[in-house]
Amino acid sequence: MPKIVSIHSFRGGTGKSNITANVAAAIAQTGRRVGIVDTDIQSPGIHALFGFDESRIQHSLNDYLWGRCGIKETAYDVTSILKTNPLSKAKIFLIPSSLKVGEIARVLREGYSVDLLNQGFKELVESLKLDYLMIDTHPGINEETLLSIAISDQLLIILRPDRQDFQGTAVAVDIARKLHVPQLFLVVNRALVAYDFEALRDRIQATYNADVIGIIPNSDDVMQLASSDIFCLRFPNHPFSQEIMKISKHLISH
Amino acid sequence: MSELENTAAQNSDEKTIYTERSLAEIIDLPEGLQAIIQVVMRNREATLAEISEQLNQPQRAVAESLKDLVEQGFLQTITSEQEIYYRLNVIARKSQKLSDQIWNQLE
Repeated sequence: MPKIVSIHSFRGGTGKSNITANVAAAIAQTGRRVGIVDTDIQSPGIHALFGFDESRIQHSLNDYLWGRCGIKETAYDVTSILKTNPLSKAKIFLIPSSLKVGEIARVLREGYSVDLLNQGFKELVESLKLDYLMIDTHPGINEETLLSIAISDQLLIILRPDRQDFQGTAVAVDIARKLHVPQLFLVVNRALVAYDFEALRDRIQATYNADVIGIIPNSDDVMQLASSDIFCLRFPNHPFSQEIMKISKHLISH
Repeated sequence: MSELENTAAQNSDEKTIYTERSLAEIIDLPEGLQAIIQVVMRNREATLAEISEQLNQPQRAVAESLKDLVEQGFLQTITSEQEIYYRLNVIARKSQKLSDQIWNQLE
């Protein structure tokens, strides 16, 4: 049964897209077929982690939403980044959003049909035979993210150990509960290594009454890569990557 | 198409007064109506029978709620091969109040 996983955060800058790309790659490495949709149409960015820029994007999610192409034409096979055995069933597809100012402005001005986006998700799952469709959402609570949250089988909310994130995450968790998301998980990113991770986990779980399935340590190495690659593929033994693997396994096993 | 389905759809068509609604408005709906919208969203489209089955509720009660949701503009009906399907009728983001001059500069 294919799963739809949305990755969300209340505030920007939590590392949401980086975690989405890394978790997607880790799941694909287990021989599964994974699609990633960048629904952060106002501030797209996940394509950079897969080495894409505007010149390589022939059709984007925006083109589909304006009826210029089918959803399948917006999906790019980026499996080569996995460097897996060619006989592996692993596949990873990226559906990027446009970086063109006019395209972003059009979405802001006119909105788009939620039904069409929903149809696109379904078509992607069916036509690409996906095991996982991962949706990288726009941060905050807005209309664009509500569909993704509402149709998700699993919702991953990313937060930093920061008071502003803590308060905002309470709102995101509340919305997810109102929308009856079947599985809600939390991931803490950029936790200072000096923290007591177990105490932090207990505190956050008690606050939100939700499972914390990963606490990712703050890492200069990740910063240095500057979103130019999928970190866990390049440095699989790094503590960041180990935590990503743990999160991926949790999503697969639930 | 059952008489119940037909009546619900016809009544809705006659009384539709809203155009598209916004997704944010779904959160404010009563729990029962919200549950129906979620079934429709997760399936992308669904018949009365499918919704009733998934919610484990009698068709008559669900038909009433569907009629209400279509009238309020949250759902639309599509007829295909004698079946009435319910789909979302919402738009992500309503028209913005920013002046046309600014938008035109951005295009």
